[in-house]
Amino acid sequence: MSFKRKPPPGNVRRVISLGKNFSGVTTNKQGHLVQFESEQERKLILLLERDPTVSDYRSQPETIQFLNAEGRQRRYTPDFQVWRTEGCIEWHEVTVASRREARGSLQEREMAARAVCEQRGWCYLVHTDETLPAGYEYANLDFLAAFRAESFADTTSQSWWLAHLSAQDKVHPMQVLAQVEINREQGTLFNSLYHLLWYGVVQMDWQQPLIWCGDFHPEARIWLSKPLAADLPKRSSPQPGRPA
Amino acid sequence: MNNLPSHSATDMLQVGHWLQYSGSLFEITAWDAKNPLEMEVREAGSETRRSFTLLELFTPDAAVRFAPTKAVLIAQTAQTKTCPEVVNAASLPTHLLQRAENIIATVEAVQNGIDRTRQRQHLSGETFSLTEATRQACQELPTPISLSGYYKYRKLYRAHGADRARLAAALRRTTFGKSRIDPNAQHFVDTIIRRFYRSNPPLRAQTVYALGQQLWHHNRRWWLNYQQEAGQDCSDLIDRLLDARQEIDSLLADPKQGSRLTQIQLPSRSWFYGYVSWFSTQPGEGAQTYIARHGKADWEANFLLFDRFSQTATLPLQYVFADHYKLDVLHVDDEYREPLGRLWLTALIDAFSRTVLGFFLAYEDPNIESIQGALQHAIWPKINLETLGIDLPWVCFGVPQKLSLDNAWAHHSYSLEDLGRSLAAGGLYTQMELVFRPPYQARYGALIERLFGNLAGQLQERLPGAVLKPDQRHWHNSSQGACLLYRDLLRLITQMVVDYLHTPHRELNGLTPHEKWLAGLQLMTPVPPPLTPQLERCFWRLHPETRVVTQSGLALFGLHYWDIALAGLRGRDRQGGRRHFNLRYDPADVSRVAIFEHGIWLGDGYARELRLPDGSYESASLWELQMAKDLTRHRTAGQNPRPHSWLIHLLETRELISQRQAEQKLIRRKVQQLRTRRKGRPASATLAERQALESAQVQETEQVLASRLPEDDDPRARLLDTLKEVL
Repeated sequence: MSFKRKPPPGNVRRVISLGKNFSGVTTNKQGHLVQFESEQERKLILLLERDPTVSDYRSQPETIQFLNAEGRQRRYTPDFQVWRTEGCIEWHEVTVASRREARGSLQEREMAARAVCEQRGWCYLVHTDETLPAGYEYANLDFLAAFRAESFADTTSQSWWLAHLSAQDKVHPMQVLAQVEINREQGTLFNSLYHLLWYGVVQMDWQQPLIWCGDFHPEARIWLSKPLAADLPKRSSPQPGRPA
Repeated sequence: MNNLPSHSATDMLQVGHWLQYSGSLFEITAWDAKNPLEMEVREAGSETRRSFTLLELFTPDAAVRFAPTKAVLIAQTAQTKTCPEVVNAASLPTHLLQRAENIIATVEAVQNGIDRTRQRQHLSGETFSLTEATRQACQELPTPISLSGYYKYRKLYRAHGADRARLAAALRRTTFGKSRIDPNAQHFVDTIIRRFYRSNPPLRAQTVYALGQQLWHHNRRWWLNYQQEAGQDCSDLIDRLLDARQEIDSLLADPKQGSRLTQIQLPSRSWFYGYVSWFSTQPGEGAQTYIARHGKADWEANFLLFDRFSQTATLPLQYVFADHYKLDVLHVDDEYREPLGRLWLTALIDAFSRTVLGFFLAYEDPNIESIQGALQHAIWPKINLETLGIDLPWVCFGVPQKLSLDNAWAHHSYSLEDLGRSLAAGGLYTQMELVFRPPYQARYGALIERLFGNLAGQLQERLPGAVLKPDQRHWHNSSQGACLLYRDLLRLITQMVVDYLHTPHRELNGLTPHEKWLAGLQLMTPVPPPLTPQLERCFWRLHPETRVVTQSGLALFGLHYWDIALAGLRGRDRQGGRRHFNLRYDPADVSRVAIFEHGIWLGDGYARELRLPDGSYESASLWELQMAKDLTRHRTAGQNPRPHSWLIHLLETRELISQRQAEQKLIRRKVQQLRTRRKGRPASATLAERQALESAQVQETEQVLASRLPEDDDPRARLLDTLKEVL
């Protein structure tokens, strides 16, 4: 891929595919275009989308220049810049743990980025494949991410779930439906459930599969997050795969 | 079918009978039925005697064979050796097993038919002809076959003992599982890949090939005769061959070792690189190699997700794949019915249900309109099927969660990125991700490619203007057979897609894609955004640069777009700066553009230069406009003239095209008439005569055109009047 294109607004660099990785672009919670250069970066995007303390984030935010150990000038663009609701700004870098240990150049650029962040009063965080979600946790994040949009938050269906889960402990989703007569479309009900799960109002075990081969997994369980049930708009919850 | 006859111990264990045990032949010399557990034998060719217990002979592991005579026993042994190995039917593809069953059923049905005929003719006293009876039986089958076809089937049936699995295995192509490369050379390549490509630190493929080349030269082309030594431990010899410090001469001097070596050819460099790439992508050892080189995370990221996407797709719309395909069929234009070429089909397929979500049929090569048009078709319900005469439902719709695309220019466009952002409507609707498949790895798009393969096959079968493969072109001439219009093809493709949706799919456990989609909808409901005028305009092509308002409006393509409702755009932003606007346009009609600011649609602007006296706007495509501009530049020696100049040329170009088309049509008709009149006679017209005829025809056409066009209806005059008013 040798053609050059300008990056999306707010990005200083266009991500590329070197033949092995897959890249892409998506829209973040503030309606800005963000790019990802690997599956691991996409995992971080899902975490940032779900994190209520993140107000906005951008990909490929800035390129810094630094001198390496041999005195040669190098350029480095962190993967993401994150703005927290409390006003803190962070740079996030995603890398592979084994590569990070093996290559000295990666450690050099991390040191340079840390120095810049310290100078500005920002934070610098590094995520690796070991700290980012994997397995069922990632599969659940990936699946539920589609239902984070507000159009899936049907108020009546949400109230239905909250009402029927309030008196129960951990329960299989289909069991909830089996207990009552449903007078509404099942698909819309489930849309709302996924939305509530994404925002943590309804809890689940993220290490267990929720949906498997087009149906709920037999081991899937959901329950109401008691302190949050009465406070729906806040939408804070334990986060899967928090960065190290 | 192959039941072995059962024998009692008394039958087998008689004095003078023979048995084979551990590869040796023995003659039974003494056995008493009253003391059946022991017997005495004599080894063949010697006088050595020994005794066996029956427990020794009839253990599950012992392969003992009995026969009344030595000759029979040897014959049985030889027959067993020639029997092929037992084939596991589960490891064979279903279509081969079905073919094998069909062959068995056919042969047995024909044989039954022959028997019936034989009996009937025997009773009636008629002369029996086997060939005639066979032919008759072949024709009486539900699907009749030829005599030669039956003989071919019978040969297979007999050769494999009517065993379904063996017969199915024999139906594989002759080159199945075989490599084009010599197995010994293949072993050499595999060895160096294992030894050096998976090393730590990893070596590049180039370096590994260079190492292999050096070894090959060093050993003077000698390598292990893998075919001969298969199954034996050759690791010492391989280590010795890979040790470049030792010469090959010492090995060759040793007759024992020398007999284990053979000369090999070194594969070409390009073959080696391709093989290494293939090797890396294979599960098992290839996967280990990849993980050793790039790490487990890379392996998961690059292979695991997409290799299993069809399994991991849990619900509809989670993974949607898009691609383009040039239809293998020619179509004709509406007016002159001349072959126009091939259309491009862009389709979106859902990985979970294998349903086609939407498609777009374009005249042009894949472009922004193709993918955006297909996306528009996919997102909202299809409501116009009845107008196309299709009665089966097509219920799939929705915004894809992840849209997997190849690396075409159009897919990397700002327009498509911005469309995804607009569809999300600030987090109100599904935030679609555009995922680009790694370049040059076509397997990631296997789902959609297979759909195109099926469509291509159906088109070639059904349509007269289908472009055939070189070896099928004697069936028909595509350009002569082309007769379908664009709308006909659109209807046919829609019909094919709907038929596909209602056809059972092998990988969906026999469900149709439609049924699978409905099953998925039990667990979710797609919620597409309403198709507002703003969103409709988001599917137009986005101009990559922003524009500011000038005195004449918003300038684009040399035209000035404005509308009375846009007066508010002349103001400045809150910081006092000039406002920048994004413009979206339809290349088929650039007389109108949609104006956006920060993703919000502010209204439409119209090309002032294209306004007609009645207040409407002359519709012109971007292609026409570019051609008019080029023509004008050509005439004015590369200088850019005023807009009104090339707008006149736009109309002149249209006139020119219609005139040439009329001429072409007339000339073809005349030529056809001449051919019909002079059929069978030699061509006698000289060059001068033909030129005179053509000029007369052109003159005639011009007269016809002139008579059709009233003087006061000249669009140039009308346009100039408008331009005077505008400028």
